[in-house]
Amino acid sequence: MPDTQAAYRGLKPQTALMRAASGMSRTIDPRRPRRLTLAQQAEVDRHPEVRLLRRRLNLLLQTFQEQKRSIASTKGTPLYDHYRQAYQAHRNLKRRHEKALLTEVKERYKKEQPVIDIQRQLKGLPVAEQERRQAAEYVFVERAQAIDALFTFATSSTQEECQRRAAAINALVALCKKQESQGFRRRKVDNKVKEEQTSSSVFVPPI
Amino acid sequence: MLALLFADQAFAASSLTSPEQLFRLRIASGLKQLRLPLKEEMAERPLFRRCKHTTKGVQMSEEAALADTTLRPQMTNLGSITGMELPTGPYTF
Repeated sequence: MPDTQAAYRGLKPQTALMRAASGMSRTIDPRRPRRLTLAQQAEVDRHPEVRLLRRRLNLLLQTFQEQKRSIASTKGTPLYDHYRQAYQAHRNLKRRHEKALLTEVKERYKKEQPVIDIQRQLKGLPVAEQERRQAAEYVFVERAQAIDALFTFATSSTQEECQRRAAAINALVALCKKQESQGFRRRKVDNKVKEEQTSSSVFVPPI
Repeated sequence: MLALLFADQAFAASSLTSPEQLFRLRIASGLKQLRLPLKEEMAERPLFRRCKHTTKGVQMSEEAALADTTLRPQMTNLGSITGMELPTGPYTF
């Protein structure tokens, strides 16, 4: 979105500001990658530096096994310090690589998916979609109402827009009054099952 | 944010209790703005508050703010889901 104001007034365009202002995309693409796939995580594990640190960690773990001691029992000893250091080093490096890979995956998606979609359309092929996910179920009907009101396209009628906003606000206020039970953490197993169910035939980054 | 303000009944004008009323308010001719003051006691109250355990169960605290370590990642996550290019946080609005 060019800074036409600046161009008209002969000012230097505020590129950074304009980028930030126009930074929101107009749609939420459910195919857009948000997390690394298991295969991508494995790619990080295969990285030579990460493997090296993992080997070092494994050696130390072996020592614990040989001595038939639990890790916690060695607290205060140099062995424990070595272990902690190796553990942190491995974890930090792995996280750093994962973050970098995710950024790269997202950038590539942003650049390549629209081209793929356009090409497919021009060739008369259907746009690749993810298998329809199960419609999300919410514990509270207020949440479903709020989401309905929030994620609708704005119309050009001011009055309708005000009504939509009022509906969204009221739904959220109603939701505020509700209380969930304790949240739960999704287990790794569940993530794996979810991945197998939703086949993403769109963008497979070259591994 | 408006929802949170309404839920807390934070507006100083005690009759202003619904968003429909808010959108019907008009700026007087000749003026360029109509300020919406909040109640004085609300000025110090954090917008996002943490939960506390009471004898009646888990309740929302009146004064204790939600920890930045909780709020910030949730906001960043939300921003990335909704497709914001730059990271969102509590002070990006």
